[in-house]
Amino acid sequence: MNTNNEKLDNLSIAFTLSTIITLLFNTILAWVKDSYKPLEHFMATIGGHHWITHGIFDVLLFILLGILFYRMNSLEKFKDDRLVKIVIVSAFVSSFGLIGWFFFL
Amino acid sequence: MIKTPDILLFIHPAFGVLSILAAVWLLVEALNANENNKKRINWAAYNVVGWMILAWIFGGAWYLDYYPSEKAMILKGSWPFAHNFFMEVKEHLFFIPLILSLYLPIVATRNNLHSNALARKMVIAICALIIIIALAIEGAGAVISEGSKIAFSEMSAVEGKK
Repeated sequence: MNTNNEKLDNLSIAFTLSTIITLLFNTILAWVKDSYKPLEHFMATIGGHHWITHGIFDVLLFILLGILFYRMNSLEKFKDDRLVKIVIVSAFVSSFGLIGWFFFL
Repeated sequence: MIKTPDILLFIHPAFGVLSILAAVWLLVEALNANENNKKRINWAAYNVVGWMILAWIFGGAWYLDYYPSEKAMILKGSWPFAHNFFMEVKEHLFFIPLILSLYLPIVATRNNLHSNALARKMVIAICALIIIIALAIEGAGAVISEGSKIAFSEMSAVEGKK
């Protein structure tokens, strides 16, 4: 249990960074998959359907990046509330990235 | 007798709603974080991710096994955008609250929300994002359902004239 009152514990910081990257990755993968059908077909061969593979990739990336960032010893600099703002921005950018892509294309 | 596709169709948004309600619960607990509600905060965070994973599994089963025939109908009807826009967005947008809900227990259970303002802000922000995006997904589901209903009624009208 983190008893520091000013920053998140290291595991939380690591998974915050992982969340930010995974949200953006999810949207970019949807764009690439939709515009390059061979990738969609390839992903379908991995998980049985491209949507299953997409979800597995997202969850695996989230876990692996979280572990990777946790093992790095440079998380001290992420101690202010900019992390909260970056998470909010990345969630909105990735959401509107999907909405805009399928609305205009 | 209710058939399996109907059960899947009704149960997956129900799990989504339960996840939204758990996020609202956690949001309220975080806003009122004190020394006495730590267990409720943990329990609410696990509820958000638990219901979300069930929505993923049961929604996925519906989408993969039963939606393709409905999709073909929707595309023949007068609301093709119910699939081309709403389902395409919904199926990819879902992964955003899923990832956020997987992250939520990590930050909510490992930090004291009543004494750590940054952790409290983070939990409140994540809950708000899950609530907003998941409600949008529920709304998209309603449009898809309406697109399907319109397509089926149009097909029935055409067959009735024959």
